[in-house]
Formats: sequence, structure tokens, C-alpha cells
Amino acid sequence: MFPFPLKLYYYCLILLTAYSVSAKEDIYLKPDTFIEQSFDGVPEQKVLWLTKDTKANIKSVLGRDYQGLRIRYWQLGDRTAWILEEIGKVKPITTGFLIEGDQMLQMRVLIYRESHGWEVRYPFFTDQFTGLELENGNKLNKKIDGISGATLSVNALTRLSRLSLFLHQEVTP
Amino acid sequence: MNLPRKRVILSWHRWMGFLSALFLVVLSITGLALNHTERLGLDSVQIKNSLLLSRYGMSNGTQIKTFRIHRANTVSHLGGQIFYNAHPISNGETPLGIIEGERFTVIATSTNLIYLTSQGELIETANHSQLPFKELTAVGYTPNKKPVLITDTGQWKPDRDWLNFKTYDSSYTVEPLAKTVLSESETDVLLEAFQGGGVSLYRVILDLHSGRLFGWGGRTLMDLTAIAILLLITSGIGGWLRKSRRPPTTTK
Repeated sequence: MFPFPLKLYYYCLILLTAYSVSAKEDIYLKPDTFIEQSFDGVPEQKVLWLTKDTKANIKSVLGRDYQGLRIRYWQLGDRTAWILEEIGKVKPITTGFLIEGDQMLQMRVLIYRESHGWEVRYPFFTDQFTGLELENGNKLNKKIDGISGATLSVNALTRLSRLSLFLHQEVTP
Repeated sequence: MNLPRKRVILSWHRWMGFLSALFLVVLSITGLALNHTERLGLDSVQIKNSLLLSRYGMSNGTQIKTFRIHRANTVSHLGGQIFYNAHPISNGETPLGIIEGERFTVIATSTNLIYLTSQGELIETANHSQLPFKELTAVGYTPNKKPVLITDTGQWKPDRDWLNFKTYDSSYTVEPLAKTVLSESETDVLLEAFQGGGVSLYRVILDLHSGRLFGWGGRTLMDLTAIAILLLITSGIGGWLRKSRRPPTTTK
């Protein structure tokens, strides 16, 4: 048989090990911790039941049909918190939104499951969402700068921010 | 360079050539086909071979687990998806309990609670971030027939809206969920909904080209073939250069 040098064996081993590293679920902040940190007191957990009209409006905001008839949220006074999910490329990104007086106070990426685009969790990106409001036609009042290599995740989070601001308006007349 | 080392390189060159030849043929043929996808119409050919579909996680009818819901309807679990009749409603594990309440029906799996209307329309899917537990092991009932969730964090009793849960320490009984069997035509409809049109020939050839069709092992084999080809080129050119630099033998 032909000889098999030890060095080449090690190179193969390194190659195989590199491939064993795969995408997994990264929890940056537990959803219940996000809710705890978002309010000074204990918020009330509520549900928004979606009527036909609301679902039609959600479709125009989100760009697709929303699966489900109710959405949970947490409220204390005029402040609401929403934990929403949207698929970036293939897997859902769990995101927390905190809104008060029709203005977004905070956006946090809570759980990220995609293999690429995790840069969206960093403050240089998430800080852009602070102060966001919905204008006429359910458009955001300022542009969200993208991140190269994370376009799909950026788009997903931008869509979700529009949805959360719209839902806040629905529950706080 | 001494003779034994030269022989070792030659032996390596020969064996690598033999071993990588088969993979190189596959790479070349699939590469040629992929280069002419539109002309060959690879995208329009759908494959429904059960062995091949199973490689793509599209399981066949033998793995369907079905339970009765709302009297005449069914809830089925197949390939990580839950179907109401043949309509996909959510991703999830095999149902552990189906609780038909006054306001809505809840399908309980080990990780999710799926809320449905009496017509089978999805209301909400609640996961561990909205529930007081991570894993549900069974669904029980109190003596007055109220549901109890038996979980990794204890027993929980839901409120009317299944939004808030209270701990429950009294007695309960667990009734295993009775399975039912779909008819052949119902199975076909469910499989059609699950598998869609099948897998395109383009997808299969692309995955054969990259080795992904055989999972992690196939992809690694294709990588090793690519590395082997690079080594063959290097050792081949090296050998040729050595020969070309050798002084010509003169005959006396």
C-alpha cells in the first residue's frame, strides 16, 4: 500500500473539524429578561386579536400574510413591548421591540439562528431603530442603513420594526 | 533527491490519480450539465423518487402520525410539520395532547402549544419564550376534566385564554392520545402537501456536484477530491520539470 504521511492526516483532520462547525441558535438575551428590563414595574401580558382589516393592514406592512389570529404583547401605561419573529434567509430571528408614545425606544435581537448576518445584533446597527416612527403609508420616518453580507436579516428586522410600530398604534388609541 | 523519495511521490501520484478519478468524472459530468441548465431544462424536471426524497428530508407515508380532532378532522405529524387535515399549520414535534376547549383547541407538543379555532385556523403558536416551561412531557386532566400540563418545571394549569399558567399540585390522570390511520387517498393528499412537486433535477445535480446529496461526508469527499487534484497537478508538473532538467544521455 502507499504510505500516508502523518502531516497530511492532520491537515485532513483540521478540514473535517472545520466542517463540523455549523449554524446554531444563539440566544443573546432571553425574551423574559428583555420584558423584565423594559419596564419599571410589572407589565400586563395582553393579546391583540387580529380582525380581517388588521390582517390586511399587516400584510401591507409586512409584505406577506401573517400566520395566526392573535399576537401577544406586554403593556404598562403607554409603553408596549413586542417579541416578534421573521425569517431572514431560512430561519426566524426573534426580536424584541419597546415602544412608547408611537416612538421606538429600543430594538434588540434576542435569538439569532442564521449562519450569516449576526452583525445585526450589534448596537451600531440596533441604535438606528431608536426614535423610529411610522409616517403616512406605514413608512419609517428614517432610513435604516444596511450591513453588507447581512441584507436579508436587515430587511427582516426593518419589516418587523414597521410591524411593531403599527401594532402599537392598534393597541394604544 | 534520492531514489526511494522519488518512488514515494510517484506512488502517491498514482494512487491519488486512481482514487480521485471517479469523483473527477462525477464533477465533470455534473459540472457540464449545470453549465447548460436552461438548455437541458433541468429546472423543469421534477423527481419524486422516494429514496431521493428521503435524502431531502421529505419522508414517506410510513412516518405519518395521525390523531382525531374536532370529530371528523385529523391532526397529522410528518417530517417536523403539523397538518390540520392536509393543511400545514405549524412546525413542531409529535402532538402529546389535543385539548378541545370552549373558545379554542390546543395541540400540545413537547416544545410548543398550538392554538386553533374550531375550524382549524391557526390562532397562535406559543413556544418556551411565552410559556413557563421548556419541555412538556404529557397532558393530564384534573378530576373535573380541566387540562394540566406536566412539564420539566412542574404541573401547570392554564387560564381560560391559555395566556397565564398557575402551578397545580393536586391529583390528575394522564390519558394517552389515541392514534388513528389515514386512508390511502388521505395519505396521498397529505404527502402531496408535504412534498410539493418533488425535487428538481437541477437541485439533485447541483447537490451531486458539491457532494451535499450524501450529506456532510459527501461534501468532505468532494473537498478531498479537489485537494487531491491540486496535489496531482503539483506532483505532475514537478515530475515533468525534473525530467526536463535532466541532462540528455549521450550515446558513445
